[in-house]
This record gives sequence, C-alpha cells and structure tokens, in this order.
Amino acid sequence: MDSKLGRSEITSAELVDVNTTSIASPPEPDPIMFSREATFTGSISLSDFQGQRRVGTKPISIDVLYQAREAGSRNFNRAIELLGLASESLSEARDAIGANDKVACASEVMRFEQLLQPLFECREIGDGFANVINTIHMAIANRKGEPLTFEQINTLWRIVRTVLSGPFLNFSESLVFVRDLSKVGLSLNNSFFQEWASESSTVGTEQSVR
Amino acid sequence: MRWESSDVGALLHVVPAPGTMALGMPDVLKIEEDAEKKYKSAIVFDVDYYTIAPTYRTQWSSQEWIAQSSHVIKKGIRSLLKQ
Repeated sequence: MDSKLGRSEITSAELVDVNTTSIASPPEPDPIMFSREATFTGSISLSDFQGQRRVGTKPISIDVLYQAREAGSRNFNRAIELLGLASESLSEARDAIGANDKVACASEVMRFEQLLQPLFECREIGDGFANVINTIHMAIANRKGEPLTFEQINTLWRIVRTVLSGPFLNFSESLVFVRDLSKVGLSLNNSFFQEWASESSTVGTEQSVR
Repeated sequence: MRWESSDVGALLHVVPAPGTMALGMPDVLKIEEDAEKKYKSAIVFDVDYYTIAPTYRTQWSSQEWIAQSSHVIKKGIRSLLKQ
C-alpha cells in the first residue's frame, strides 16, 4: 500500500538521485545572477519576499511572455514571425513615402500583401486575429491596385504592431481595428457586413454593461 | 527560493519526497530475489511561475503559456541542478 502510494506520488514529480549532504548544506547567502541558459537575467533571493511587490508599468513583451518558442504551437510561432515581417515592410513603406520614393513604397506594400495569405492560414489563433487579417486582405483587394496613402499605410502599420504585441484578440476587440481601417477608406465595401459588424459590436457592449 | 526579473518571476519550493519507492525492473535484470526493490530518493519541485509586468488580455493564451512555461521551468531546473 505504502509502496503504491509512494510510486503514485513520485511519478508526478521530477525524479533525481539525492545526495543528502547536498540538501543539508546551507545555500549561498548572496543573490546569484542566473544567466547560464536563460535568455535574460534576474536575481535569486533565498528568503521569502518581503515588502510590497514591485509592479512595472510597461506591458510585458510577447517575446518574454512566450520565450520557449520551440515548445509553442506552429501557428503561433508562424504568426509572430509573419507579423514581424509585415511590420517591417510597412515601416519601410512609411520611410519610402517620407522620402517620396513611390516605387520603393509600392514594393514594400506588395511584400506586405504577400504575407496576408499565410497570416490568414494562422487563423487558429483566434477569431479576432482572423477577422483583422481578413479585413485587411479584402480591403486592399477592393482598392483594385490603387496605391495606399500615407494615412492608410500608417494605420495598417499601427494595427499590425498592435496585433503583434497581442495576437489573441476576440472578435469584439477586432472590430475596433475594422473601424479604424474603415475610417481611412480601407473597408470590405460590403454594406451588409458593416451593418452586421456594428450591430454585433453594439450588442457586445450592451451585454458587457449588463 | 524566489527568482525575479523585471517581467517574470518564479517561486521554487524544493522538498525531499518522503519514503522510498520500488521501481519495476525487467526480468532479465532481476539477478537477485529482491532486485526489483530499487530504492531511490526524490526531490519534489513546486514551482510558481508568474508575470510581474502588466499583461494585456490580448497577449494571453493559457494554452501557449502552459506549454512554453513548463518548457522553461524544466530547462531552468536542469540548469539549477547542474550548478
């Protein structure tokens, strides 16, 4: 009975050979810098935390929050990588417009457009993510080859960067971006969808208030 | 033992597991009568892994967080044991 109990307890834990003297030996009193395999450094304290916990004001980076990409899902890893490339392309496009280089700008926008299809393939991340990517894709397609304005590129750049820092949007949250795109003339051009989206948004807000 | 950076932290409790355990062994290795009673000691690691910096809801996926954090914790424990 005891051996069964012991076995069931221990199999759920990390098993290692123990040298009893190493357990009994007192730990180092000074904080240790922990930089051997970690991607960033911090300090170890061996006593219980005293005093008020410090809380930063800057939001956590997605790279720090999810730092073991090798253990992450394929769609998440791919989406983050593609959003990074998209942000880079749009940033280059903004710079090109600033330098009045329309060819370079169009080239970067085309590079961005090529990323939209593979980004949409990562839609398992969430409905909001899929909605934002789909809206951008359709809105650009609806322009039928007309070049994007600086304001439109700027809005796309801002949205892509926001989605990059927080890709797990729900559908209601994604409608904010859809509206932002619509304000700068990037919309699905489909009155039925727009009406339905605005109604869903209104209903969602009312429900959250209740 | 508590470890903290400016963004994330971990609280680690290390406890020696009580008692002993018997490991099942293949028959070919049972040279002696009680050969299957292989006594081992164990350490239980209880890890609280948490964020310190503010985290937006849109940044949070429990599925991704658990998968990736458990990987980080396992790596960290191995590194700690080597030291």
